[in-house]
Amino acid sequence: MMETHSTGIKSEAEIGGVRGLLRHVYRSVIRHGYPDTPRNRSLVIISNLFLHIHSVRVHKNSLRAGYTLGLGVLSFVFFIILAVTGVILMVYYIPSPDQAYDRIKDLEFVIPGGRLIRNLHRWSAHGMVAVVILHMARVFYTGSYKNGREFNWVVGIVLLVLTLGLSYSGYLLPWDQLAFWAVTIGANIAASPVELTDALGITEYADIGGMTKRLLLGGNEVGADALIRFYVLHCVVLPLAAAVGIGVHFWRIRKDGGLSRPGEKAHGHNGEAP
Amino acid sequence: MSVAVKPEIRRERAFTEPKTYGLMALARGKTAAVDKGPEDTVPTWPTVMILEITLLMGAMAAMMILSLLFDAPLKEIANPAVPENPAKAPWYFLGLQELVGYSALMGGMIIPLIVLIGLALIPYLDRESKGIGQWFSGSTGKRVTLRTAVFSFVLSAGLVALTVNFGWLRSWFPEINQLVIIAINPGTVLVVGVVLWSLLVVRQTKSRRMGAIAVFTFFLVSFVVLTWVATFYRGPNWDFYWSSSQWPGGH
Repeated sequence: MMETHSTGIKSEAEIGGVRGLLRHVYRSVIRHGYPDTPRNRSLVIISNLFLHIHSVRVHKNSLRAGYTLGLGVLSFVFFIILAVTGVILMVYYIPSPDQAYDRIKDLEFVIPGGRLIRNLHRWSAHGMVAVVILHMARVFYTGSYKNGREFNWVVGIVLLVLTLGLSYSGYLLPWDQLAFWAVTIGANIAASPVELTDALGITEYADIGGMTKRLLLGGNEVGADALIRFYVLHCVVLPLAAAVGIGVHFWRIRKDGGLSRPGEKAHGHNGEAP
Repeated sequence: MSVAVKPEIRRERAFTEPKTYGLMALARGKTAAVDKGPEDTVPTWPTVMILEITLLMGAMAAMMILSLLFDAPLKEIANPAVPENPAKAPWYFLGLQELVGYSALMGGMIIPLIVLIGLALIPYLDRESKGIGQWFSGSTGKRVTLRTAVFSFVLSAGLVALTVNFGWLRSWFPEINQLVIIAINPGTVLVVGVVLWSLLVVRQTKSRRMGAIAVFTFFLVSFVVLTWVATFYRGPNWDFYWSSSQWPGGH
């Protein structure tokens, strides 16, 4: 326990009245004054868990609209929209071939706002894939994978794969014809090493393709087992992996000295932070 | 030279005894910079916050409008007995599905793997440190991007046109071993094409960054071309149609 009254200075806890209480509560949450001075503008960033992924000051070049096009932030914004609408959809959805489709129909025609939420989720998913690809192109063409940022580019590639995986695993969940046959194609592609093993005549002994397909679907066809596997991937495994990956991606941006800019000092090829 | 901003001692700390905080900023230079942040920086609050919230609200508004205007597709309930024809993957996989027609192994697994490994290796293959923070790393890069875009467009669209009009190895030699088609198909031709092209660019410009620009541009353009073809020109049995109104069976 900390000794709080030893200095003799009156602490807020001792200011009486309702006003004192309210101030006490406010100060216990927000520990700095209004952010209109350099000091408080720094504190507002430093003392907030969610904001401290930012540095207190950023280079002007990082804010040039024509440089970043806002694509990195937009990718994250889409991720947030998808997480929120996704959780709402989870409240109504049941991952079973008997009920999945009916539940989607309920969302479309019975549950107030259900259709809007599903539309938001669907279009934002397409939006996220598109924006992530454009973000990759921006980072590439501005040479931003250099000068200590090499590994963050690799993290970005992992996030691209996770984004595609998230979108694709969600594709099966409505359990309609579109979902079923698109995922059947995907599963057949997973089984495609059969092409090679067949041509070599060794499928009997080493059926790599068939194994991969069964691992993905939990059987030879798209059925109840496949649906629950895709559901778990879509709602738990991949979002968690993506959240961790995004955290690493952001953290490294700061460790690498913020966004790239023309004429920045080189800081070694070993990813050393400046 | 260092500038220390010494705050007044605050008397109303919530839980701890009063502490003094010193916030220090270090700036290089002979005189104190006036009205200009150190190293050309601006405070994150409020500038960055406003931009980020603008992007958040803009994206949410755009998605909201889109969602009010257009409904997400929902077909009949899944039925394993009635195949969709054509059954198309989501748009971002259609470029691959276009290649899968020749060899599922190449188009669906090996080429995507090559592309992903290639993308991940870019920073380690191109280790030049000039041209950072500049679009296309300058005018040479712009020229390389443009030329590569034209070349890869011609090559990928040409390959599609060739196969649509004249078929591929299987239609010329019906008895051919599938191993040959796994090795030689439009997908692998594109991969060989990009490798040769980027080696040529590296030789001409003596720059690996330019080689990387060639590889990436090639990947991007052929991805767009193949995706476009598969989205708009592929119908039942993956046959080529200029418009879905020409599809047989009155779709």
